[in-house]
Amino acid sequence: MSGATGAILRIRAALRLYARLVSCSIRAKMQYRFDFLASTAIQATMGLYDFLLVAVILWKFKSVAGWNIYEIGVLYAVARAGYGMYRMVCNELERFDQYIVNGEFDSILIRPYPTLFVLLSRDFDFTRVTWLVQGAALLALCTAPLIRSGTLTWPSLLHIVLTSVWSALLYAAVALATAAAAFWIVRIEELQVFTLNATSSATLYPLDIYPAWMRAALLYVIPLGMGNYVPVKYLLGKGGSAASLVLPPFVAVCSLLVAYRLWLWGETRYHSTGS
Amino acid sequence: MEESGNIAIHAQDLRKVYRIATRRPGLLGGFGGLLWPKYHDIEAVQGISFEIPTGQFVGYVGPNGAGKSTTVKMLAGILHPTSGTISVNGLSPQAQRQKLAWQIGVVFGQRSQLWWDLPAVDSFEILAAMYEVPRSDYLDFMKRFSDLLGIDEFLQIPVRRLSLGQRMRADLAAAMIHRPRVLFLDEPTIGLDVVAKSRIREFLLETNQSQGVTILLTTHDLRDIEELCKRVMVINHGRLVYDGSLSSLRDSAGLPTVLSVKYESLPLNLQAGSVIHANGAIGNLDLGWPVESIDQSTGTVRVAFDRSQSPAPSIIWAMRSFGEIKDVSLTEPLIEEIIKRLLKSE
Repeated sequence: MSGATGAILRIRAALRLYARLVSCSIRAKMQYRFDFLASTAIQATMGLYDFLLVAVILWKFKSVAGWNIYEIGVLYAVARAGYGMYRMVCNELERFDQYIVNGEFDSILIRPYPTLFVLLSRDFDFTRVTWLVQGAALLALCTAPLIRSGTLTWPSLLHIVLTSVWSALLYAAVALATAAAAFWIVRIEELQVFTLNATSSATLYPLDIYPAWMRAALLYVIPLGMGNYVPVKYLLGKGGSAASLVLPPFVAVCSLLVAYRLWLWGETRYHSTGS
Repeated sequence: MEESGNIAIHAQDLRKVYRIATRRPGLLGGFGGLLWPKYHDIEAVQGISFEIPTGQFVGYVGPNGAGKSTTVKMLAGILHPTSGTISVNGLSPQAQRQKLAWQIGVVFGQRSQLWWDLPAVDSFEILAAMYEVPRSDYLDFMKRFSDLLGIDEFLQIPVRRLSLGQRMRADLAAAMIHRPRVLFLDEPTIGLDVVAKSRIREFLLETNQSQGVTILLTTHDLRDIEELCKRVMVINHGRLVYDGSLSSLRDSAGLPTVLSVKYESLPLNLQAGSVIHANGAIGNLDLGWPVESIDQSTGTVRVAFDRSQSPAPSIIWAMRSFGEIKDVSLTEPLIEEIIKRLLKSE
């Protein structure tokens, strides 16, 4: 009993510290006011650009691989909102190789907390809130006609919202594993293009449009497709089973655990830089 | 725990090998390196053992690339040794990194631990929260470190706008906020002017003597060692070449300051290796100052001497008897020179 309360107190203290560190990182960024405002504005407007492209195509062809514009919109909204959540919390993972190149990781290792906690608390990318707003707006826009036509029910809409959280966890797992690779190969920009950028763009669209091997890769190797495609397909009545709803959170948590093991292993391989 | 009663730091057969990818020349070579990388090993630390009792102030010196920083980073839990064991306050820096972090303070002269874009005071507040320092202790800390290091002079200034000396003072204070029992200082005086250096030395001495904090200090500056450390460890090419008191280091290697004297015209009777005596005579007895080298083109004679043994003016006085002196300059001893002498005296 006392062990459990001790753990709760520790988690509460860690959360309070996290909030404090994050508020400092936001305050530090506010020092460069113009940069902060400009990047918020860019995030807010640029994110939907890809979708407009698809919308134009659908305007002409009505449907792609059996998905109409509203259905693709739902898929897209889930991925966008998930990506926004992931980037908000895990922004430092994307530039983690800088910590290895400059030996900045030293400063993280001297603190009495897990390295990942200290690393993530260094930046909270508030500007990504705009992606959440985009996702929510797009979801509202696309689900209204789907509910009217009876394709989607209210409870499944709730489930779709939850799905974006699994999506965020999967992005985080892939990004964490990619960042951990920096402990061995130092620079990870090229690797990120392959593991994170290409895959997250690919999963914005229904996986049915891709060849089978690529679909398999996006479901079982870098399982970003588990975050939106599998559950949304089932919820829209396009196939799959109840497993389509259970699998995503399960795969997300397992991927995170594997990625974190890799991270801890990498930590022991850290070389630092000479001074 | 029992055996570490009054041993703060214990290192046994410490080794660190870095595996570096070998670069091959040319475009083809670079491409080959991508496909079939070749590695070579660099043994940065090659079997170092030492014990530091609680409360000791130890200087750790050596030339660039000798393995100083690598050793300190292994002791602080940043790097994992290739082999060997470490215990700091009875804890393993690798297996118990987080637990040990509550008990040690680390300062890197080259890299600040402070929040760059925020006023200095924010860094202290954040660290106080991170190390769960009670409010009353924090206020005591601010008062004490304002007296000792004058941090109150720049609390509201963003760290990026502090001078190097101010930043170093702030970094030192930041490393002390959780009252560590052991301090690792990697080149804390690098690049500082004389005034800033002496302020930091005063503070370190006070911390060591009145707080009983164990300090391991790496430095290039032998004056740091002279003024602070009772014990010196000298590292060269990853090995300890000396471990003992400063006075016996002086006995075996001397701490040669070099006096350069420029003459109107070069005295013909002086040669490299001649020994100059206090009365202005030349002899070959040990009781004198040896001429290190003579530069014919500029008419400069360089004489090595130990500051603690002879005052510079008395040497200049003696050297006046060889001719009209145009200019005089002093060069403090370099660690490279000490090592050369150490290896020679063995």
